[in-house]
Amino acid sequence: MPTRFRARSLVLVVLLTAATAMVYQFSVVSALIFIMGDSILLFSVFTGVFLLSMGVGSVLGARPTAAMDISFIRVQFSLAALGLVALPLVFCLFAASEYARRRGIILPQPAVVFTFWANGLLIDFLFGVLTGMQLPLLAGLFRTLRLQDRSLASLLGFDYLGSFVGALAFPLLLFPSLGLFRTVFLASLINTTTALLSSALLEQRRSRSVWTAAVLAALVLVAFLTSHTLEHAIDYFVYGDR
Amino acid sequence: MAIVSRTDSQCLICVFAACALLYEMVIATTLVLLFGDVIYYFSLTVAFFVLFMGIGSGISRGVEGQALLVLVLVELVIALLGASSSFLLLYVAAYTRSGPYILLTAFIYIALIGILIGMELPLLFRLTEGQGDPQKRFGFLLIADYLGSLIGSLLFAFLLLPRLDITGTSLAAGGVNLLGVVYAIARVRFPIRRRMALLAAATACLVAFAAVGLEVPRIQAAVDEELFAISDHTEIIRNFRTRYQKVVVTLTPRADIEVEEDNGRYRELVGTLARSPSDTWIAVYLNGYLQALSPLQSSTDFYHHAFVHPTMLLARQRRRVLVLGGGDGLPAKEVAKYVEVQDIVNVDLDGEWVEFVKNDPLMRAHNFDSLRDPRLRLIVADAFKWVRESTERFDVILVDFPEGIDVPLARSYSTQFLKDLKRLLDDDGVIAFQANFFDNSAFWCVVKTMLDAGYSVIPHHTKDPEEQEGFMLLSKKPLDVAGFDQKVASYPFLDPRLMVSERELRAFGDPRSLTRHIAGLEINTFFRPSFLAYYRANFPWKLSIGAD
Repeated sequence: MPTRFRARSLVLVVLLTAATAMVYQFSVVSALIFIMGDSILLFSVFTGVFLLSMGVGSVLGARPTAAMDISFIRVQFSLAALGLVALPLVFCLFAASEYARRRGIILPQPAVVFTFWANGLLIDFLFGVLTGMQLPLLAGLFRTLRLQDRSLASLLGFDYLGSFVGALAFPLLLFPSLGLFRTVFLASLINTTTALLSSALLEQRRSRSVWTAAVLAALVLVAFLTSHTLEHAIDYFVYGDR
Repeated sequence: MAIVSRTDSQCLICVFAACALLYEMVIATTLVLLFGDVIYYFSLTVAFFVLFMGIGSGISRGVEGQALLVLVLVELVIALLGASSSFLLLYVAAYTRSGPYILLTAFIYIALIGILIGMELPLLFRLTEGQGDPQKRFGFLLIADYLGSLIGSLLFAFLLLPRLDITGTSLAAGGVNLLGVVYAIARVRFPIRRRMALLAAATACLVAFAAVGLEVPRIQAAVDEELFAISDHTEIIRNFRTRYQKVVVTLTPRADIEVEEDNGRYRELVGTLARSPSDTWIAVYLNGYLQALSPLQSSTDFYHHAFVHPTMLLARQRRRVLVLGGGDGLPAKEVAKYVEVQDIVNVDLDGEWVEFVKNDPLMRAHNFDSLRDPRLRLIVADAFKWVRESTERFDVILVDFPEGIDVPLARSYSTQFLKDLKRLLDDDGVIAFQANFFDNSAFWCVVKTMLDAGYSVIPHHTKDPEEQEGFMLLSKKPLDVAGFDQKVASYPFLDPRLMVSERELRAFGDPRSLTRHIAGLEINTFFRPSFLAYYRANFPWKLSIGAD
């Protein structure tokens, strides 16, 4: 595979994952705003936590290890998996607490609020760490693969560009037309694709990656197609038969 | 040879990053205040900040030598821009009242601040050259950068915004930024003349900020006056902020209302009908949105007359009434006129606001002390939560949340909330919703959602031909409107000229016309708030704040 083509494709991976990172971040915050209200508080706290966890991730990703290529592919798959479960988890917690209340089980309110915050922040933190790991890993990979220096410099630019695209597409296109669930499932599908793509580009564990990607993609597709059922199921637990 | 030590560079980037995040939050929050729609404007602000930060980091590569001087100058400019951002945005909003101008101003600010912020990290990175492995150095700087962002976000949410409001926050962030500049100048070996010049510049800015800081209340008052003035004689008599909202109450002479309004004749009619003993009109704004404009101490106002009474008359019984929102006491004022009403439950989120309305002499005179009516039970709670947990049943439910396009609004029109309300509604009861728009896709999207939730719906609107505000009447069984006009006539406090008629109810409620209107629209749910998209499409960049 020509080196230049490889470098360019990896830059494309950076662009796509930066976009999905923004989509995850905004989806989680939007879901919590719908459940808990107080939008400005949630937005500012979650933005700060996301940035901090990206910092933690970038330090983790900068550790010199032997298997940077494998780590990079794993990060992509982890993002896809997290994207698949994160939002349903948030809403399942909500549905569970409402169902309990409807059944007359009184849960202590501070504990419920704490659980929502802790769950949301944990998800936000994991997304941030995984996202933050990518860039230093890729920078290390570029060095070991002796890819052109110029592409390395453009990495950061594409990262910014991807974030811009993601942050713009979320409110303008994805959220209103697809809704929350399908938006994150789409992002998860994109991450599965980029994982597979980077596995091919880095010539690492290709058959294993294909299997993982196939399983993930199947799960995401099922989730995407059944998202309306999922919404109805949550409604059922929250509102019962009304 | 490193110019800045590792600890110093970490401290500096931490402070600068915290300020950068504060500027981002200040601009986003100002836009949300002006336009509503929190997710939309937060995402857009973040998107463009990221874009311009990328451009800035690219530009920083072109800086040859003098990295420290450039950094100090960059920070000086950022501090000035950041501190002024909220002031100028509010100023433009107040004096142009134009969405595109405000967005253009915000865009210029975001572009300039974003580019300069993007230059911070690469410049500081270059200044630490020669202190070990570059990758490690970069990692340490980056973690300090991100830590600063976290500190900034927490300060904003928990300390600065609640205490200092938006303008104070932007000024404080600019001040801290300048302190960072002073620290950088003090710690670093500069040629002495330049150092003195820079220190003098930073100190001058600090003094200027402090001076402006003392003037903030007066500046804020001037901007508010411009935003909320209906005419030159408008007087802002109450202006305060509760935990949830900004409250502004103004008084304007009647003569000015008639001159200002294109449709003076109609307003004049309303004023006369209302038999107001006063020549003054009162306007109440919550978070900048106009809630009600009516003659002071009038027996009714045209908006709540049109909203409340058709609902009351169409319900089989009028014994138990639920008001959601309506902390101003104006819906309750209309409800209290019916002698057959036994219980009124009024649920409002904002305890400070309802306490004010209950105790302020002007508001008490305005709502005829309705919040102190012995039949009324006032509950301070989140209406969504209260409705979900309540087991009471009501003959009439009036949903009168403060207007504005926001997630809460999309939530109040969602399938989920409508299902919750149904449980509280008597089988022959009626629910009324209001919308500050009528006959557009956003309106019909809401109607479709209501039909989908299993209600029978009759939409109608205020009789003001200029600004039609929409209403929806919801019931479990199709409503029987026969004899509506006679019912109106039998209540002496009702005026048919201010409300919908039997003929109009029939026309609006006609299933065929409803089917035609809602064709092809998406319903609005908790998970897919299609309402927001329809609203934005109908009112692009609509300024949702102020007197106009």
